[in-house]
Amino acid sequence: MQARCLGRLKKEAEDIRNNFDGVLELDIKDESQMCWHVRFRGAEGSVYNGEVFTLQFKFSEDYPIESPEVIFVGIPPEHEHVYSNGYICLSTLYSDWTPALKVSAVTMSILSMLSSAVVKQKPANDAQAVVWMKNKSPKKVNWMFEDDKC
Amino acid sequence: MENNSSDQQQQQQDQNSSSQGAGEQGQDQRVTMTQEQLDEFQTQIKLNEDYQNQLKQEIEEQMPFISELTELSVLKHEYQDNKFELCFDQLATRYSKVRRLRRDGNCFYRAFLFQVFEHFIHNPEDPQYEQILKVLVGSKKDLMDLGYDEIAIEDFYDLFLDEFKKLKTIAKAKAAEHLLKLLCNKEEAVYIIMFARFLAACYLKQNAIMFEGFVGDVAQFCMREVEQVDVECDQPQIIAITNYLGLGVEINSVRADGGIEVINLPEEGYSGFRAKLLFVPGHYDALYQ
Repeated sequence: MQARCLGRLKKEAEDIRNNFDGVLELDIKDESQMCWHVRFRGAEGSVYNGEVFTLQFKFSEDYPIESPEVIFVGIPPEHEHVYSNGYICLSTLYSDWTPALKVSAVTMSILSMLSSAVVKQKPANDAQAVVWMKNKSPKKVNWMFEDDKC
Repeated sequence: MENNSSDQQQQQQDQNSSSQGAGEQGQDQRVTMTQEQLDEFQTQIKLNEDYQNQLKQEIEEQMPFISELTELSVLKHEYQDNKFELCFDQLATRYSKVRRLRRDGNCFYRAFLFQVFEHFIHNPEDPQYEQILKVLVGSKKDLMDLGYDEIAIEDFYDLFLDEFKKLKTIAKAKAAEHLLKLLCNKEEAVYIIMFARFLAACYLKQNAIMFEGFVGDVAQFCMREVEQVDVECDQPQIIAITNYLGLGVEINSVRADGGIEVINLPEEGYSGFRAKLLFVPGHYDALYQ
């Protein structure tokens, strides 16, 4: 499985560099290429205009059959579906993941989720949830998705 | 064909066991929990998860992905004193053997592919082979026309197409051995079954108008019920993949009154190969004469 996974990641890295130049910035953090950082800027006209965010993607060797683990690192955006620990409540990252998705598509859907926010606000249960999620992979949290976006 | 399958129940159990989540944190009694109580609660959940995983592993170890040819009477024996027991007498008038499939959500796809591939190893000159090859070659473009990303689908496409082309080179006597190897593992087989799922999704999306009355939003249905590994297959997916490839299935569905209902897809006007399947609510096996 690992050879396939690495082959796929190589293609995805090219995809980001060739097709998302100036929008997404890829930083491959790990020698074995299984940990990526993807930086992007909050969209013009949105409440995050100009702010820079970094998503961390951790891939298992079963990627893309298994979803990557995706969180914000650094300062996460203040958004009702993003917790202070960087965890993101978005169904496509968990129960709705399909191997037809890819890193650029996931990042663009998170950017779109941010762009549709009209006000900056943390999730209502942020403080408790962050304690609850301590030492737990976001993929192990039993998310309750409230709408199409979360 | 009912939806209350044992495969789904297994998944449901898995979901239930995988803890309380962020979504429930707003409840008042949780707010008063101490860190110690939270830790204790998490330990319990972890134990529960481990137990579920162990059960799942035990099921996996007991059942191969695809069994050797087995006498149908073995199945009848297992359904002794069950409302479906008599169904096997009726089935035995037309079939004598069965290949049993692991209950992992992929049973339909694995059984279907096994029989189709087996048919073309045994009948390499069947004109349907070239027709299907042509459809498969064109499937990458079909998927991309629907908005699938080339890099997201091509590994699945390449492997499936290569293996389909290879069928012509397999000795007939080696058919079962070859296919048991190809379709029974957690590597290539996952990719091959995944591509079969993409093909079903392709037809569903191309013909969304025909399906939306049954499955609701077709894109959502494909994402949740077709394109995910280990999500089992219902009639819309079967109609989709058989129509897309131009193949058929004969589903022998057990009835509560002890009879067998034969469901042919496509129903009529088709004379090509049909995979012969047994359907017991929630599960498919492959039938042999």
